[in-house]
Amino acid sequence: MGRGRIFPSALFRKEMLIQNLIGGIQAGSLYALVALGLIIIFKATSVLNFAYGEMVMMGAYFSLVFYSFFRLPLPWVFLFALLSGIILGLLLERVICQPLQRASPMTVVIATVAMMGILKSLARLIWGPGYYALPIFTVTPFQFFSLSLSGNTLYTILISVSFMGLFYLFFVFTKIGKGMRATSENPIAASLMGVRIPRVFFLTWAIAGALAALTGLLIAPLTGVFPDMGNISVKGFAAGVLGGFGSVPGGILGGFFLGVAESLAGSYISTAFKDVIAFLLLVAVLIFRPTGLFGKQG
Amino acid sequence: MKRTLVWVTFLSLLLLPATGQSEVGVTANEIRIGFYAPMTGFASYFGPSLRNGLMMAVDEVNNAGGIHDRKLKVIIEDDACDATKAVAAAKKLIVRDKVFMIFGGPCAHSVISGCNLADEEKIPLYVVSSAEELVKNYHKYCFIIGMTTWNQSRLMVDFAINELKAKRIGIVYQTGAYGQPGGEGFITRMKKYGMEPVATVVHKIGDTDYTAQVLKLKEANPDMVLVFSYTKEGAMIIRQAWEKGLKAKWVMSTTGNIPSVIDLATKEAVAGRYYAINLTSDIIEGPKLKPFLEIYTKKFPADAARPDFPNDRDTMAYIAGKMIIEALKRCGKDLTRDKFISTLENMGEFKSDIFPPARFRPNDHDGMKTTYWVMYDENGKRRFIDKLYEWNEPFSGSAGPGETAETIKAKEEEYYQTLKKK
Repeated sequence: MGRGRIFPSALFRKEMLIQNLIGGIQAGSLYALVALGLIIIFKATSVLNFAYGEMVMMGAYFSLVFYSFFRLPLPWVFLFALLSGIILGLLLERVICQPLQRASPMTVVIATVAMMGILKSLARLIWGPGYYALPIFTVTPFQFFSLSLSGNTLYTILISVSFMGLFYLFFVFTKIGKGMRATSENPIAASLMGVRIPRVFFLTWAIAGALAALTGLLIAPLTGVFPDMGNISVKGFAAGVLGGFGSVPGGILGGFFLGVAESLAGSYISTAFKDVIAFLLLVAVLIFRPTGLFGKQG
Repeated sequence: MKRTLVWVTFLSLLLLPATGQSEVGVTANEIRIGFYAPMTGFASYFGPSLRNGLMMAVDEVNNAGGIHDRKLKVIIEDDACDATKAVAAAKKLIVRDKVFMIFGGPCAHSVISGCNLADEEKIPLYVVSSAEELVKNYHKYCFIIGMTTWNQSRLMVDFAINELKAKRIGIVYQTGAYGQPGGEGFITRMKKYGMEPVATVVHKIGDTDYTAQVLKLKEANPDMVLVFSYTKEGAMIIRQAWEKGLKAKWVMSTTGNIPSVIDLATKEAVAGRYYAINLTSDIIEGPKLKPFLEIYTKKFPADAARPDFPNDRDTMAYIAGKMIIEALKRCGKDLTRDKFISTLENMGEFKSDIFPPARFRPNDHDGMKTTYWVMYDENGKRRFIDKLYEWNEPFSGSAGPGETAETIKAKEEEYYQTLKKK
């Protein structure tokens, strides 16, 4: 009798935990993508790109234009959004990185802050301050055992994890990827070994642009498209710091960690303290392991 | 002696125009009205709505010859939804532009600062906003239209229980000046029915993942969820709840009454289960608002082409403009600020084809206490519920002269205690 009563409740708790983990992984995969974009620019060029959130926002607007205005099929929307992201990345490299090559890091950071405002205002000017929906994935839920899942959740996780895998393979196995890693470790030595540094910078911004567009495209079906959606970069920064800002795998794991921590804290402690708890964890990590969870000590 | 006479004559000449001058901001052929709202920044979708609605009313009266041979001139300022900028804008309008009155809204902190300044400077301020802080403390010079969060939250609970027969109510609200009073209002009002929410969850503006909130709600198994959040956040919660298998009905505040809710929340999630407060006498795409929509589209084609324009805020600003114009007309040729305030307070119900009756009273500067509702039917089509819901309790959320937020709260609590005893 007692067991019969407890069992459904316990099952629901288990289901609740798994649902929470899936929700956290979905949010975390987006944080991880943002962290990845921030880290690869930082590692290659030592620029902390404050305009990255706005690059994500522009990626969402590009997707909106191709999906709702040109009414292209989804694979083409992906392709053109990524291409537009690459072009935007290259444009920013020409506007920020190249002219300020010899400027102090602080000057470059201020330039990215200025670019943040410019991109946001540009979006408001072109598309207005309102919200646009971008329903590119199905939301009809389906049952998987006792779990209720949707296409939105699955596609977001699958696509972002696949792209992270692709980037990993690119950095580890391709000649260009190895050159980029070498530049981030020691630009002078890399240059002496024949790596063309300006080309690496150029490529880095292009890849970051593509990543930003992909992130924008994946966030847009969840939040809609609007000029302030770049604020997600705050979570991306947090994820990057949590994992160790110099480490790509660290940034990715930091993203997932943050997403899951938020979700669990919201469900099991209080929804009011969801963010507080996640950022308390961040502070704790910084106190006890200042290089981040996966950063190199010293 | 001769020198003294010259001085007296000179000074008299200097004073002559002053003695014959009328109220500040009023000349022989013009009445200057200041305007501030967020025209830039994160809330910049509010500003054009308020400006367009007001300008429609102003252009109508100016094209018809003005008010007592005076044309209305509107001077527009941007507050960027920031209290400091709002005060700076209002001061500029008062000191430099010497306006007769100010029209503004809707951001809570901006209008609260504006109302404090209006009382100091003794200048009428008419705002379109839902900030209940404005009416919780009495402001002689401040008038509000736009259904305060106080009224909305209480009418939402009444609607859910009396009309939709809700038995297990969950509540969702966002933190901050908009959602917090709304959420607390739900809990207070539910006391009238001897009920408590089965689950209460909160979120922040800009959140993207609502898994925690939805699972908490789902665990409590509500048949109805009341939402006091901004449009995007509210719609996202509803969609994520649908994705996670929560099949409750939803009632949302005024922010939920825009056609694009269905795009953000998706048709599947809202069809047959979604209701929101509708401030006008029809939905914006309905037949009663067709003439308004036609003029609006002609006059502001760029804004009308944007998603969710025009909306409740455009119509509210239009009606507010018409109400101001009516009061100015009734003041007669000798217009003063005090006369204008007294006229607004005593002009009775202001009726129009597109808006429920609005009314200010000497002890109540909250002009709007009635509402309609909108819903999505089983096919995902927006439908207007043609029944006016009025506030008919022996108290309201507005402070009259000598009253404070505490006295209002005590009155409400006392009323619920009396009901409980009965």
